[in-house]
Amino acid sequence: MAFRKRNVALGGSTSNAAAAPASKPEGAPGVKPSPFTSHPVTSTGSSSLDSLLGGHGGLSLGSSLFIEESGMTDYGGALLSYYAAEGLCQGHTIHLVGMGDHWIRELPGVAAQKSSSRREQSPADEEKMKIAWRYERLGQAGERALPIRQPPGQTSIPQEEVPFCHTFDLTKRLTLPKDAKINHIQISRDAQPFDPILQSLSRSLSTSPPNTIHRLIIPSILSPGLYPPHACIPQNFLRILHNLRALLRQHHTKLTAMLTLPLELYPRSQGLVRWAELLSDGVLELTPFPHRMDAYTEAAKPNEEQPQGMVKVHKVPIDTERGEGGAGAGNSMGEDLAFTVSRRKFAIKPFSLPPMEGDQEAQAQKEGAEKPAGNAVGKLSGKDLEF
Amino acid sequence: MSTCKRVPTALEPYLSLPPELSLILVTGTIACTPTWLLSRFAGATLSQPIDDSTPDEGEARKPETAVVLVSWMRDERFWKTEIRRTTGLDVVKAESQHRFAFVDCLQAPIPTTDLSQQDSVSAGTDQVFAHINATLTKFSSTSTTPRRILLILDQPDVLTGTGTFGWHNLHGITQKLRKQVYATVINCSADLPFISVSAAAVKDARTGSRTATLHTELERHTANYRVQQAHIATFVMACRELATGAAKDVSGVLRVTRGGGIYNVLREDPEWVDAFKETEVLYLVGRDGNVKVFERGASESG
Repeated sequence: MAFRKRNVALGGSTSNAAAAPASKPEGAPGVKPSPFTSHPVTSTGSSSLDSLLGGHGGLSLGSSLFIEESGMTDYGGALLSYYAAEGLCQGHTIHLVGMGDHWIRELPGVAAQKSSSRREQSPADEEKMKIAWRYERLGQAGERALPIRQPPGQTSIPQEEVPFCHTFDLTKRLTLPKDAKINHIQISRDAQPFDPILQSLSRSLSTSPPNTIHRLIIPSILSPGLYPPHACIPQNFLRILHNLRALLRQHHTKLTAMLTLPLELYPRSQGLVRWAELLSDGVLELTPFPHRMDAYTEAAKPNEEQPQGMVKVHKVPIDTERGEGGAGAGNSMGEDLAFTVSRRKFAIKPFSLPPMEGDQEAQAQKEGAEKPAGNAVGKLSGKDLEF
Repeated sequence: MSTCKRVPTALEPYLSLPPELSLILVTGTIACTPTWLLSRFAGATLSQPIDDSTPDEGEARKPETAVVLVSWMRDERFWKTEIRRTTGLDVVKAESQHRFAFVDCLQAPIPTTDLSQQDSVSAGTDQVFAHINATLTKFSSTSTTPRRILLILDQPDVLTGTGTFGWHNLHGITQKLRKQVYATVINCSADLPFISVSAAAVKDARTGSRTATLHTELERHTANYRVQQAHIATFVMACRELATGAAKDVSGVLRVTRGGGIYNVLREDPEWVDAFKETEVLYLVGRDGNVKVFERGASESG
């Protein structure tokens, strides 16, 4: 297949990537060239989300990620906090829209290095035994496209002092570096609620040194708790997204953005949301399982990580723009993916029915698979979901 | 790499320069962006050799071809890389020969208009038209040879999306632009939320219900503009996802159909219309920029 050839060529001549126009932000912390296209990419703070973005190993600079979430949960907010925490660890400038200082104070802290690398290793190996062979080669969704990242612990960590993507622990609080650059942007209550965002952002972009990386974070955009009602008219909402897109392209070596949108008020079938998706570079939809809300209390076996919802990738940066629709090389569009939020990670994996050890009732039910799954209580069953 | 190798043979008849004053509507969806098709339109037009020889007495010089690309969605850097990457064409050279020009409508500020005020809307349309027309006139004045300009408009529907203009204002702008050039390609998105309103209107007309009024102004304007363009287009090339879900070896479905405007061509150039075939094929855009086009059920072939 085409992508393999490309891989070999890139791996063989690393000079290719270095000579590319991407060389400019090379010096910037937390930025590396994409193994495929040599676009500079930065980590989202969650390694499995990084590996979902078209095989580039991160969010390419100059692009935005639009995360939609249905239901009343805030898993998207967890992704945003990883993204912000990762930025702070790398010394990037954080632009936070509409949230107070408390949001920054509650960011997850970096998990202890030693234990994290050891612990990462062992459950991963265990997992390999469990996952059916056809999933094994997929690894973490999309990782098949990332030959460079295959040997994790040994090569990457000793080489650089600061890893590309940190592991965060939700139970810890991030100790802010003294020189942390955080720009709080307040939403204005007047006719153009979004205007301060772009003004403040472009001012900061033009005054900061050229190799600083900026991250724009807009949590729960259009949520009535934060935004005035007229924020959702296209003249305000879609115009800001168009302007943001222009700004991202203009500063394509130093700016990334991540937004979340509650789908409950703005369903995907609306033209407004579709336009917002078209104007963003990457689109991810999180659909939490309603009956998994009690997962924390129910988790008798802590190793047994039940997925908490489904992830759908509608669009990935760079690749979709080039017209590579479908589930291409290293892009996970159209795959059944599920996410699991645990203390230490936001893991996104191919969705498969979990092994039901010890659960006699469920096992018996599985054997008589033809039976309609009307009484599949508690346990997650593929039949509950619409594929 | 040679250019002809990069254009799938099945698509060649559609990518070559259409009859004069044609409008080609290219539509895409969120996961199936038709940028690969647009860059091939540009590539196919620019790869036609320039006639350097001095024409014989009394013989008109063969018109040369040129491309003006206007984009509301993507920047110059993207398009130049994309055209070079997918067609192997030297865009910078074409630009220096005044055969290629790019009009950036992404960075250029979109005029602020009040849709209820006729004055502010017409001032806005003038501003947008003048921005593009400035490049067009400068472009055509640089050459003495007659030239056929292919105008590619990448997502002008952003203007209806951002609530800047109504669909009829935007239609006015594109019609005015079309008169300045040989042929036009317009790229719009045709996702379900933008199409469902037209479908609802058709259903309403039949059943007497009023479901179309449930749709928002934004959806109506976006849908109307697209339907209007399809009615006047010579032909429509629509990219969409596979109905059965994303597959690894298929990027999407490309459907080529006649548009309402083909009857205008019928009078001028009936042979072209006869040769025109409607088709539906699957396509696969590779990471290296190559496109494979194949029939449903057939294996991939160039």
